[in-house]
Amino acid sequence: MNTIDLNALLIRIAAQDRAAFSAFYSAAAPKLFGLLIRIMGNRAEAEDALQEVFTRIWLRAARFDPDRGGAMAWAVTIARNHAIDLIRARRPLGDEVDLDSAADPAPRAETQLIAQGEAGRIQNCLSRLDPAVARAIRGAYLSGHSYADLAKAANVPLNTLRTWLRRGLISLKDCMQ
Amino acid sequence: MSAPVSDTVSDDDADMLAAEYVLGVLDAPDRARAEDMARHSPQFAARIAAWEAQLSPLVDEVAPIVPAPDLLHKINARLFGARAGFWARLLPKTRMAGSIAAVLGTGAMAALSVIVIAVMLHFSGGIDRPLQSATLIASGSEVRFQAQLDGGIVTVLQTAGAPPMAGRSYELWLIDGDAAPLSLGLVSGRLTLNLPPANAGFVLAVTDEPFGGGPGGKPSGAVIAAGSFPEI
Repeated sequence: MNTIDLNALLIRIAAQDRAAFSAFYSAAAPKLFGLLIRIMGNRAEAEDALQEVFTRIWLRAARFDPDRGGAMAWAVTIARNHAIDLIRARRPLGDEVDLDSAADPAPRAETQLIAQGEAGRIQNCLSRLDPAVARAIRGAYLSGHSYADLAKAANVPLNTLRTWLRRGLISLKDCMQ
Repeated sequence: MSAPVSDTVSDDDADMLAAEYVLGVLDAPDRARAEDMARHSPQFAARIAAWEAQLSPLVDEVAPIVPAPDLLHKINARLFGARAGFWARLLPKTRMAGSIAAVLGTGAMAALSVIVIAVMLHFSGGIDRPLQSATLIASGSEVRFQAQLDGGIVTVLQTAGAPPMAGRSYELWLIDGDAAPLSLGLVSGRLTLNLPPANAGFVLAVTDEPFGGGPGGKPSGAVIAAGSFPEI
């Protein structure tokens, strides 16, 4: 997938170009759908969420600023924000957190090997953190786990988890700079 | 959990809050507060953007999954379909109707605009599941609620946008067909109640009202969010 192409498509979408919208969907939907399934935990809700995400992509395309990041990162932000809003709204209603799924696997060796550029950099920096903290950061970003979920999965008090995670984020930032 | 969310937090705390927001670990009220801060503080919004840029390469770990082939058609129908086009053409009038309703305080006008917006946003097919959810939104409003219906119990939770201004309240309404909107109470962050009897396709709407609710039990202010549960 070519980032420059996606940026150009998004700019055309802002000008109400439906063909560009279809092309953008073809290129970006599988990644976004994979992410939504991971966060929502089931396909049916992820499909509903994907419809809403692409509705927002169409409606908000004019706000995309290529100087502030790529089109895919922009779309990922829309998808994650929507999915996290949905699960934060439903979890207090009594949905049990699946502790098994709260333990996110580290990327497989082959994934680490092919990770390059920006992705390689963040993987490299995460690998320098305490593995439990790196796992928590991945679990939060990629699976939408809240502090409460992560604390439960790690079997530590929420404030302890929060202190760990904040320390990890500071180290991560230092490493990325 | 309560995050130290305020405009007076130190730079380090603000940066950590931005990181926590982007990571998605905050609960719904803290998320809403962080979004509110981002709207009012360009510096805080920039911190969020920086963390988004830093963390987004993690998505490379996610395996792509191709959605069902008819999903793009559903999205296109929602955005551009014959019915969608019809409602989209109505929308500018609806906005006008909304401001007229705000000025005149007529419940009927508010109800009409709610129905138009809700139908426009929610005619995609429902999915058979016992617990139903709906997103309540309205054009031109940053406020957003998530509603869940489970065995006749409705829970409405504010997930985005600012709380009511001083001296104002957010009020939840049930709009069932042509019947007058029925107040379900004031929503302060979250509201749980037993749903009164209503016909399929009813609409939930939130209006911005004087403190304590619309005078005479009728909506008088602007519709800030509306939606309906997909029909099963």
